Amino acid sequence: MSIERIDPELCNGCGICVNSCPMDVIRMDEEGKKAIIQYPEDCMLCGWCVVDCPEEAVYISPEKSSPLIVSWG
Amino acid sequence: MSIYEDPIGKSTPEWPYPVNYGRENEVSADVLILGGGIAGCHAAINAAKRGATVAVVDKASIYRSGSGGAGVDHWHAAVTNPCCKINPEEMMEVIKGYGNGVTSEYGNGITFYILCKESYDALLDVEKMGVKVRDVDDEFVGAEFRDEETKLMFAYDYETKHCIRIQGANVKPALYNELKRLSVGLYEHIMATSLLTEGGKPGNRVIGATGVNVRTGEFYVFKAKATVLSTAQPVGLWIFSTELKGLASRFSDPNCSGDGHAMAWHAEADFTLMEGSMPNSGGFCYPPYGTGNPHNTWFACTIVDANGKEVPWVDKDGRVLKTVSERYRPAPGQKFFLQNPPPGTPSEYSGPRLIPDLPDRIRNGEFILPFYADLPSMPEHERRAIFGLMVGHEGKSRIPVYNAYTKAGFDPDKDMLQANALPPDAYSIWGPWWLSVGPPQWREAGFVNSGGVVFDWDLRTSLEGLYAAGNQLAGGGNHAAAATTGRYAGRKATAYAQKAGEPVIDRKQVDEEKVRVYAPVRRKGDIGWKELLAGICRTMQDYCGEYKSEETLKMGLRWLNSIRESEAARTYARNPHELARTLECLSRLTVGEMIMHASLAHKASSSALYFKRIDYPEMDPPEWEKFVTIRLESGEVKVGELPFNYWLLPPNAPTYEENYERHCGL
Repeated sequence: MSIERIDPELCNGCGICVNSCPMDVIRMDEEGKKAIIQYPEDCMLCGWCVVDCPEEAVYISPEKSSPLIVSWG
Repeated sequence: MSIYEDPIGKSTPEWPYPVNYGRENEVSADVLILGGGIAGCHAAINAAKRGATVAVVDKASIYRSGSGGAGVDHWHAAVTNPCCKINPEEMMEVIKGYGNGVTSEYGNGITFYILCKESYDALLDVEKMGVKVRDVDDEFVGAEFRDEETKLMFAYDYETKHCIRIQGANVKPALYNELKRLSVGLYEHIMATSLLTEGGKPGNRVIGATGVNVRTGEFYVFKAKATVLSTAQPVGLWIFSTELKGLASRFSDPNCSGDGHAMAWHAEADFTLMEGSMPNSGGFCYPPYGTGNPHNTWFACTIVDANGKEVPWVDKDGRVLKTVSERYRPAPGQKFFLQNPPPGTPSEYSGPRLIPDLPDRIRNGEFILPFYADLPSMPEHERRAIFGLMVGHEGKSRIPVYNAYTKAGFDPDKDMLQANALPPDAYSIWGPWWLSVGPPQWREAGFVNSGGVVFDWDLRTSLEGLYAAGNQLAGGGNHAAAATTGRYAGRKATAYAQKAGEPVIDRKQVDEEKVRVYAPVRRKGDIGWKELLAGICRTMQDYCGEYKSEETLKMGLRWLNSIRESEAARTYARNPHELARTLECLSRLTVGEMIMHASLAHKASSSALYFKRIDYPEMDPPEWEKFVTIRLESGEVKVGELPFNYWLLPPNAPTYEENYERHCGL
């Protein structure tokens, strides 16, 4: 479960989600003026980006784990 | 590139912010707040209202940051509300019998009394800021838990009315707006890295802190007359997985990496309760409050077995409760009760619970697993309070549980929610079912039982100029406790700052910290932060798990030291985000050492601290009825002790009220 996608068609570049994210996972792409995802593995699934987005552009995946499996020990 | 980084290294995204490692910014304030969570925000607001210039530093966006960032649904110990039938002194009775306890959200006597005295005032504060603390929309008219005159709604003990149900999903944005209104200096996305001390010498007066911006990598020097440490308890020290993320990995905010503990330790502050930790199932738990259960937010939901047979509820005396309403009332002759009180609480304050011999009755086949939370059979008001008012506003349950389940078609009017199947013993009262069960080497230091700084009736630490609030306080916890101790620490820090001399920063201390902070981006290392953290966690599991001994703890300390000297010295960071994660690992490394040192110093087992020494198996021997304290002093760990109830012993006054009146600053 983590943030999966921000629809660039729907994103209006307001930046609210950037401030809603306590983990600094969402950034503004200064060139494109759109919100983008970085380090999705740090997402803690509080979901505030979804709640606070005025355009319903943010999608959270129901998957529990990330696709890459690298385990230690 | 390490083996770990190779496959994902290629996908590392381009950095979107201008990076300026080492560029220095200087900020001056009367009061510096480290950590902008619930405690930090209340501290800042109260300092600013008293005329202090205030700077708040937070690793994340203050709008939603911190353990309480996702909201709150019930407000503890609001005993001064107009409907409550007990006063603070009566509530303090629960702490008397703690003895070896002083754990949980009802922990330390100082924080608990401050909580009892100011909890309702703090709630009125946030109401003024726009948080809904009453049923103003009249959605629950006629409910047993609603007071028709004040429209306050109560949780758990409907008779005594000391805990208030609120609709606090937006408490953090409300606090954020108030900080803005009061022109508080907000330094967001800045991770505090060290405390600055007078003359650059640890143990001296604290005169500010250093920080690094997690987006630009710029360096910050905060100069302040007084500092409030309102960072949280450390989490994620034992369990780390590169696969499990988000709520699947832990309950608390992952930003809570123990940075405040590490900073104050290196500044040579006193700590206590650091040896305490609890079992945890890490990434194998369910979303908090996300399975059928009768605890906390789900109190006192009817539980039925696989055949629909109801599990009886009983009061503290074992009397079977026939109606749902009785589960929310004290037993005959009982003054009041606490919901799900932790071990050690005097039994006269225990609340209604499922039959205590439930594990045996499951074993002998009387009840068949799995269980279900039977919401449809609950009275309508209670059903809507549990799956709506509570789950819809509590912490992180709103999105992954309330919204996700509703969207998937879950209807509390018709559907039961299955409880996760557990070993029979796990169905006893303590430990929410959704936490599941992990192996004995998996622990967590935070949430309850958290160790932290030693403090006095001024909420001052052992260092001049350094105050503490919220979960940074040993034995602190819960949203209302964070709010009340934040208010109090904000007042005390301001009073000190008004009289304190101008701080003079020691340049050498700043320069040394800059070298430490930027080392991971300057070196050509071959270990990523995740690999480093995996090593730290494995060491904690192997040498500081449920069962501890002199030999394993000493070995663990040797390993942590070895990790510090070799692996940590080879860890690289490619941008400010990774730098912050790496610095968090260094904080966790320090906190791991603190936990092992405290564990070595505590030569007995303790039930309240979930602390088991194989070499000292006797549980709670009378000679260990005391707090073990630890402090770093010129590189050596000094062990000390404090008596239980130190807060009522000289030089303090013998009663809570006298101490509060003398110190509260109101």
